[in-house]
Amino acid sequence: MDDRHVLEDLAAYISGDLDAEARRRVEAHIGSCRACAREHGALRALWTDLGEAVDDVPGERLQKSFRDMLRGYEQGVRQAAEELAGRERRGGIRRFTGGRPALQLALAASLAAVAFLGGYTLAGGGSSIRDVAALREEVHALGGMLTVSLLHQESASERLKGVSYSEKLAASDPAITRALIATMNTDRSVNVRLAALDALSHDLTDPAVRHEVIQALPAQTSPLMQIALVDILAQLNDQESREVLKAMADRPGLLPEVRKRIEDGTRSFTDHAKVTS
Amino acid sequence: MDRSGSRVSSPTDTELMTRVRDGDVRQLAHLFARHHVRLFNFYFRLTGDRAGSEDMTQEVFFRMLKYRHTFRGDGEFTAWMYHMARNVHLDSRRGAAVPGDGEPDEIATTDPHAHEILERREGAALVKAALARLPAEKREVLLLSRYEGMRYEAIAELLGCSVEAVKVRVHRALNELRTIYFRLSGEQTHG
Repeated sequence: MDDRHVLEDLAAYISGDLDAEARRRVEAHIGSCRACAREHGALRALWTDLGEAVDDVPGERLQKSFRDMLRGYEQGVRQAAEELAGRERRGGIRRFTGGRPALQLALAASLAAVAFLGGYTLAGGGSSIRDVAALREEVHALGGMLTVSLLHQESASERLKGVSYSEKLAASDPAITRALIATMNTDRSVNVRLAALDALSHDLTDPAVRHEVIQALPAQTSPLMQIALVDILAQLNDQESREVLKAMADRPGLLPEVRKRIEDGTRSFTDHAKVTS
Repeated sequence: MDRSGSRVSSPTDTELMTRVRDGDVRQLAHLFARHHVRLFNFYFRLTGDRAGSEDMTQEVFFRMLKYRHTFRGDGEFTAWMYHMARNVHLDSRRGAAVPGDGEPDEIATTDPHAHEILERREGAALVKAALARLPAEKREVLLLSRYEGMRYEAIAELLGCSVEAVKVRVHRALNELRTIYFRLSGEQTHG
């Protein structure tokens, strides 16, 4: 038997927060130590009583105020869309959105968010939303929504604008990153795929982005994309990049120019290894 | 839909919040339906203030809408939600954003609801009264562990402390709760 008392482990044992080894130690001990077993029994009964406390039901007021909040937001979206339509008729927004519903909706939603937050503040809903940071976040969200919308446009030139716009946003946005990765992998225009790759190459310090870029190479059939990716992977010079480049070089039917690029790139690995060894 | 193409029958909290983040704000109603009672009880057990707990619950869902674009979807939704919930409570104690708040940290022993449940002589009701008398910071860690089902790792991340510190806090909170429980039990027996 383990004769160390386990009083300080009992709460974690009862709540299931001990690892397997600690749990076995506690069980072995309380099986033979009367004091710890008694303590365990008392705390477990208390824990059980705690769990039997019935939930209170909040008043109808909470449900109503939530519904009002959500309805207010949706009304704000509609009003902003109507306002946008009015501006478009006057020719102001059309140049920006190209008259596309997806862009107008994104812009309307973001304008509504700002308008709604303003309204909530005026209604006394919370002082913390008055800060400038919140408005800046909304502006960033507006940019993000527009970018993602552009990346889904039918026209390749609009999608290129989306890629270009993504690089102007100060902070990386997961939704934009996901859209850029999808664009790099699946866009039917090689120019758009190249632009997306270029935009993503600024974020290669992010391990998830780096992994996606490295793993893009085997799926690409365009020599232009293959060469661009080979150059990036050669610069990365990490284990995953080397493995992907090696597998690519062994692929039958690869264009000689691409194979030569891989050989040049992997030679720099060898040279680098010689210099540093 | 995941990478392998398999589907799940009911959207997870993370999937719903991701849709909210991406503009489908009506999905927030599903998250409200799933979590508002739980959140309200977290606050009610923490503060003993019914109206204040309703206001704070409402404020959490408002902040989910306001800060929806900060949801990354790479962790548990409930951890994100309780991070906000905790900030709302801290703001309310500072007298900021949440109206109708201002309750004491320790629930008053003159709370008529507490007396009522003491008279009912039920173990669960008695332990609820004992919980109301526990200092606020101990009550919080116990609520997160027992009622919100959070693992010590998640609580540690939420509170910004080590897992070992959480272990010690829960241990002390449970022991103090037991002391209060027995005191109340004695009061009840001899009162």
